[in-house]
Amino acid sequence: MKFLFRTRGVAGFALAYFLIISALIIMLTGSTLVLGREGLRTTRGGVDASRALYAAEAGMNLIIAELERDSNWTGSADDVAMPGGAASYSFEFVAIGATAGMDQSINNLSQDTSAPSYRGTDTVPPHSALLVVTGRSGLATRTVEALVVSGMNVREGEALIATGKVDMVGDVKIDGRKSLVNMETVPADFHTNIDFGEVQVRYRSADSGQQLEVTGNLTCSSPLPESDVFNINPPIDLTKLRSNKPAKWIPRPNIQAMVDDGIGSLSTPIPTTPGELRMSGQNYYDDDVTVQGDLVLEDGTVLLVDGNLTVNGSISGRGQVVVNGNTSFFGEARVAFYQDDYVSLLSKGHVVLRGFKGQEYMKALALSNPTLTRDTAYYAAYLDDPPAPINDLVNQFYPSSTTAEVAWQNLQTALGEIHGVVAVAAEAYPDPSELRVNLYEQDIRLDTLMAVVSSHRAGADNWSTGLEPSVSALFPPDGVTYNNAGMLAGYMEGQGGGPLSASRFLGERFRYLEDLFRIGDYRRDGAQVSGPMTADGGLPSLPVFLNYEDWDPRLDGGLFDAMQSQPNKPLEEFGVEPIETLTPPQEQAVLDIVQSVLQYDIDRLGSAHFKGVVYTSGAFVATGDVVVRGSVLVNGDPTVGPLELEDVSFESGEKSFLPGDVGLYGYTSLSYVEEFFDDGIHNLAGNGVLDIKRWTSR
Amino acid sequence: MDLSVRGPRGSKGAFSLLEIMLTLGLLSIVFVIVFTVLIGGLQMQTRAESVEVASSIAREMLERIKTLPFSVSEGSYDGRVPNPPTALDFPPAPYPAVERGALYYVKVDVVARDERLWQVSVSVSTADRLMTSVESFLRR
Repeated sequence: MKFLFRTRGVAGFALAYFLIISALIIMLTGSTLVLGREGLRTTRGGVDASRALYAAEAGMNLIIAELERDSNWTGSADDVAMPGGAASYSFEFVAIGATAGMDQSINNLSQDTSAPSYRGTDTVPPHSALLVVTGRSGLATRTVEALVVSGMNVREGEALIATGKVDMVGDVKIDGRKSLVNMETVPADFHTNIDFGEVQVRYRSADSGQQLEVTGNLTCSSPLPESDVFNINPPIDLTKLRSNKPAKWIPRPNIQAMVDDGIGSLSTPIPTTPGELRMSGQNYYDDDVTVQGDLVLEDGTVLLVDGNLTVNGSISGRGQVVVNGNTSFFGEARVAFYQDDYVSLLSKGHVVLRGFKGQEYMKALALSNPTLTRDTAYYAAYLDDPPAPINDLVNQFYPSSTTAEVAWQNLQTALGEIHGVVAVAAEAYPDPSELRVNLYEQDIRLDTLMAVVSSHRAGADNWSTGLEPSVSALFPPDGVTYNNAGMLAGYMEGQGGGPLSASRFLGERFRYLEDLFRIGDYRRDGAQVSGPMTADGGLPSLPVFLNYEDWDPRLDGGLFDAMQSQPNKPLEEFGVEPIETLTPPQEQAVLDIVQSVLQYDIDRLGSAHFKGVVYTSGAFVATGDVVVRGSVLVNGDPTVGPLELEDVSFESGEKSFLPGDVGLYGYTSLSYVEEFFDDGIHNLAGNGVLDIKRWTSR
Repeated sequence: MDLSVRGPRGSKGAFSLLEIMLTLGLLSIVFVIVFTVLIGGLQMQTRAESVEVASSIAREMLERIKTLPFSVSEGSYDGRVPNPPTALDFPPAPYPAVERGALYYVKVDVVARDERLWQVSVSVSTADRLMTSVESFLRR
């Protein structure tokens, strides 16, 4: 290189310099150009990747929209261009059971069993679909994959999620349980996404002894400290209160579109006369609907209302109620038996659930403490039935009258004990056959307790012979009374309240308990169910258990006793054939009957139940002893407008509930039931709403 | 330091005017080419950066619209001639424009594809040119 610097006397050095400098300039210039082009290409690649991703998401939403219209839909798209033309999407379905490729979707929404996918066998759960969509733009390709479930994707462990302020008064309980049969508790949270302002969550007891119970956490997205956001009086465990928590995602079903699906299939008008109304299939109404009486949704019923819905009675069965306006229930969603039965309510407007103030009624009853008498005429046939000594025992050991306070106390004690026995057994023996055998092995104890709840003279015999001394210890000396549910029912029925009165509601509730726990081989009127023994050697109560789906509490024997009293091994002294193994329907019957026992919260016997999911884009108000088992989602839509109720207001005196607000008043319970939301199997019943359970690739 | 250059015939002497003119002409052409290419490269880098920023604004906007629970409203909203906001403040920020090194205008077009889907397109421009756009179908 020395020659480069020894320029004097060297010919051509200028040219050399010129070439070198030129080369450097060209290299610099070229590299700038290359870098610029590469940067632009990379950026365009990023833009294409974004466009491809959004095209794939567009395809995904398109499929979901089609599946919401028709759950059996299986279309395809091959590089269908987006309207702007810069990107396209592709997808393809394969039949269930066929070998699926990595880019093929499986629609398993209508099936009750799992289906295979490219991920392996049984990877698409029942009532779900695995959707795979590919988006393309330029050279970029993006694939999205999601598991879509029938129903709304309720977050696990959330008893309630709201977007507005929360006001609670009285005895309020928020808890969670594994299932309706398994009483094991699970955390149940209560969250509101409201992210500004002070005192967004307020609780006050209306009476001494009332309190707020929360088994999970009570959280709010407001950034202010807990002391500013929460006003809980009397206070609860501060570790359960959390502010400044991230907003939680809430589903947003397209209620307008769901209701519009019914246009063109107007149903026959609702009768204006009071009485039970049974519905099946899809029902569409293009105006306000008022049901004067109990509404029963037969299996998978969809009720679409393009207006407001008012039900002046209970709602029961299994189905979906979709309301494009406000919804008001005065009654309960009482789904006593079938585990899979629950009502999902989706309301674009406000939801108001009103119970019967049964707890208040019972408190007032205890204060006035009237004398209750056993309705001997009602059970005359039963008590006169041989063997007479047992009738004498009933009369001897149980007073023919008692006070309402004693009857109520004894009923609660006995039910609590039965509840405990059944809950422990259900947790220890998930297998229905083993569960039934375990309950049979506790037959004497259960019979004795049932004599306190209802008319069970075998249980009465146990009292006299002292077979169950541990049960006797539960009750005050000489204070045991017989068939307390029946006595209370008779008193309530004698009050003559109207169809929506607390006395009528409680009368039906107590009569139902009496029916459920009566001895299995006797009807309400005292007649035997089917003679002393069935032809195949079963106990007389056996047909009641075997035909439980048609069980009529007024005309059949006690269902619980019928289920658990049949022995599992021969009882030679009676010549009774055992039930050693259960058929699948009988197994289901055991679980259903057990859950019907467990669904009663002994402290909430006067409460109206709503079992299922409640979604509203207005406000949610529950007042007057309401129990919701499932989950409540309140995703406030500002276009809905405020709600004003005559008898309810915030503590501040403000009467307007805004969309997203929650009011829980009286003896209100929210129980999250984990089983409902397990892998989409127990999400909202019926077709219509679909939701993305999880993204599996993106 | 002797910076003189030997003449064409080996004698010491100045360049002729013609030689100088030719040299300057050649150098000018070279410099024009070089600077053109250089400026082009730099412009491409600047544009890449702008497109990157615009793309990120567009994605941000679309993601924000996706999370809006209820306020999506059909219409064309052009940030260069901002429409009055809807009663529910749609479109959300960064509409109508955002300053990120330069001023970027956001345009949102919402069309009801059917009763279940919105067709949403977001484009981002500088004062004089469209930088990028993205579109998708969102559930209503």
